[in-house]
Amino acid sequence: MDRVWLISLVTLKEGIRNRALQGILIIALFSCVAYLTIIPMFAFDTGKVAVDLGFASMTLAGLAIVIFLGIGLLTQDIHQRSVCMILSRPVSRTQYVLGKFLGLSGIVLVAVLIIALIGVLSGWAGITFISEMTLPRNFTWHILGVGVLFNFLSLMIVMSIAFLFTVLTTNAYLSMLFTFGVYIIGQSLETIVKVVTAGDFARVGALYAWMLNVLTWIVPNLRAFDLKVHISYGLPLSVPYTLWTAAYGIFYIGIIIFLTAMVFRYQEIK
Amino acid sequence: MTSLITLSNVEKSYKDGFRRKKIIHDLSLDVLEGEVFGFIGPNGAGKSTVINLIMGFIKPEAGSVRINGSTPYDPKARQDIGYLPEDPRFYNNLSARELLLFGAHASGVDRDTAKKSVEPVLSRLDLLHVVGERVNTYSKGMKQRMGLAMAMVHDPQIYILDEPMSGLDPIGRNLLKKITLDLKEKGKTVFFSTHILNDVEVLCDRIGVLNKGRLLFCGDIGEFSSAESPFEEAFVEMIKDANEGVKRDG
Amino acid sequence: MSGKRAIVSFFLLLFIISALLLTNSRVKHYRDNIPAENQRAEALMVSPTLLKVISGEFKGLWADYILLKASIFLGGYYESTPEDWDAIYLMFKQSLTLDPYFFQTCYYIQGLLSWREGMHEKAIELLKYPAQYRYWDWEPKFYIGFDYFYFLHDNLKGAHYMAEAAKLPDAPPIVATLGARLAQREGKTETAIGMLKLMYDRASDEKHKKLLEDRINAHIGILTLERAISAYKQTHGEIPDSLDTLIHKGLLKQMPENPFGDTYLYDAETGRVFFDEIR
Repeated sequence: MDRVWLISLVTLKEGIRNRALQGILIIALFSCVAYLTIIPMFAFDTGKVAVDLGFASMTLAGLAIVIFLGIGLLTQDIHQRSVCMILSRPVSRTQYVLGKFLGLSGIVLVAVLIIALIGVLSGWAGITFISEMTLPRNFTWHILGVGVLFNFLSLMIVMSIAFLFTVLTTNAYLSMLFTFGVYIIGQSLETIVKVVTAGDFARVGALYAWMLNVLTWIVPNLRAFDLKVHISYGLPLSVPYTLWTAAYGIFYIGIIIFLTAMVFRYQEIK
Repeated sequence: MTSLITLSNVEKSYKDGFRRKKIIHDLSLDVLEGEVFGFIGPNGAGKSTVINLIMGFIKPEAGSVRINGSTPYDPKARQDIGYLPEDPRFYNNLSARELLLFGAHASGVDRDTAKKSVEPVLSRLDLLHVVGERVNTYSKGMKQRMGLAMAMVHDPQIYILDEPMSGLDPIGRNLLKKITLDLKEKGKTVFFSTHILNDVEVLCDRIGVLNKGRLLFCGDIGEFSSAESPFEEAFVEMIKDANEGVKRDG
Repeated sequence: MSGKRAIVSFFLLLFIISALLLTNSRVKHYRDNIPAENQRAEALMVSPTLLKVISGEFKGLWADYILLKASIFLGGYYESTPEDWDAIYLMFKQSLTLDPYFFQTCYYIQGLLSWREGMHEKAIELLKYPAQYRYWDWEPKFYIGFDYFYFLHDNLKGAHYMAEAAKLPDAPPIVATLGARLAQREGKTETAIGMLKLMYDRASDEKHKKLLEDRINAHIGILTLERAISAYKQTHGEIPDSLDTLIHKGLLKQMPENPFGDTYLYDAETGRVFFDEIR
């Protein structure tokens, strides 16, 4: 495990110092603060607006980090052979995959925490200085914390998928495309299945419905990690649901990283 | 003397469209403990492929590769190897110190020893003045020397260097020659590939000559060239004959 | 890979897959049983105009997606809150701003939003988008005309939109007739039945058809009672004091069935008949 931590630390350092990360964070911070100027234009409960926009900043920045920075760093390693610097040492490929993933997770965690902190501070500034701005109904720090954690978990799922695609494909752009595709499907699949199977306004064939159902077991259900509605409306969040969903996220990441390590173990580095 | 690196009847092909093209043909060679082995051949001969096979980055379709008796896919086999790739790539936002500390720790060196070894290695390679600067500010020659520093930091027994002189100016090349001779004196085993023949004559005990994936010669340098047939001439002749032989055999 | 390592990897894989299947099934269970009050309509709180700007060339796709999100509520809208309806209204507005030609949105607005107490004007406001952009289509204008007449009791505006709808190609002839009736301000119940029947013929889903069918039957019941009340007034010089009187006096064989309740409601002072309390 020592070597896993070593690789993760080196990856974290490399990522944190990357200008792309700094650029993404600056844009995210700007957007976290900029919404304060448009709050007065909204007639709906402004606390919800703040939550929506704050989390949107976090998600967009997180996705940008995963897809551009994360895949960029992985491509540099695997396709441009800087991985040889590591694999020429007594480091197994599995250790490399684990260490790399942990390091990339660390980069995303740092970014998410920074944006969350700025979001909270700008929210406090908004409530203090803007009369139209209100706290979301039944707001608690606990639910905000769980919301941020779940946001991070969903980004980790996307990161693990990005890792798998980078190892499978020979091209960074293909990897970005596939990863983004899985993200979109993961966000919208639950909605589509609900409309198709439970709604009365759409009728589809049994085969199509079955295929969609199978897909829900393969594609990650990223909607389950979206707690914006709970934070915005102060809805109760059950402990069993939180724990099961977190466990689902962790095991999903586990299987993807396992597959990635398997594929990478047999891959040639030319 | 023990053979530290052994390749036995190794074959390797790559996909070329729908066909498979053989890159390495039935190659067998040994690198003995304590020797400096020069692996020479024209561009595209397959030298880097052989080194990738030795390092376990790629696998042969036939034959076997052994390092110190173990397969190269076992991480433990790489404990005692210092590797320099043809075009060293690093994490560009890290400094020389950070990279070397990482390299040393990853190779199993304890913290104190690793800390103490960083500056002497960098000093030896004339990089001490940039110890704290990020690698993306280095010139090509400095990156090449940094690559060698990564190979040396954990004081391995075996050195595998792919075109070590590439990108170095005459001062850099001279420095590298001195280092190689030092390593030889310390009883280290050095396996390096090159297409610069002058270096081979000065540094090597034994050589292997590769052409189009076939090992044309493996043995003492004294057996290869003579007063009547100087090294470079002998090499060119051998390659020419081999190419004509290939043409004849179709 | 050594044998031992292969076995360990196999069991590790098996464990992770089993854990993943278990956790996914539990998460699905929780999410399929979310209480109705927790199923909030989620609208991205962005002005439709801004959304139009940032969606670039994907306006149509985004319009489809927003409509999809709103349509989840078509199954259980009785349990929704006023905040949900505000959010659904915003989603329809966003969808129409992105794609004002999209008939599906227009259809959902008429089928869902128009019938909602307090949302009639908003539904009309939204329907004006497709009415303007779908210049070849009589239906959006017809819906607006119906809503003005049926919900807002504004026969003048209802007649105007019916007339506009009737001018368009493929408009059924009855549209012109209905518009004329509205202009005359007579035969309200028959007008309503005519419009509802037209909407019933155009509806494509069972739930919407059932809603309209119940309304049609309710209005037919009202029409029957109105005719009986009119006949009673002609004979007795005044309106009856209750609907049962119509049966006692032989003007009705039996009380028509009310799909929305046990019986029809009667205002003895005005002689008006209702099928529910909200009218």
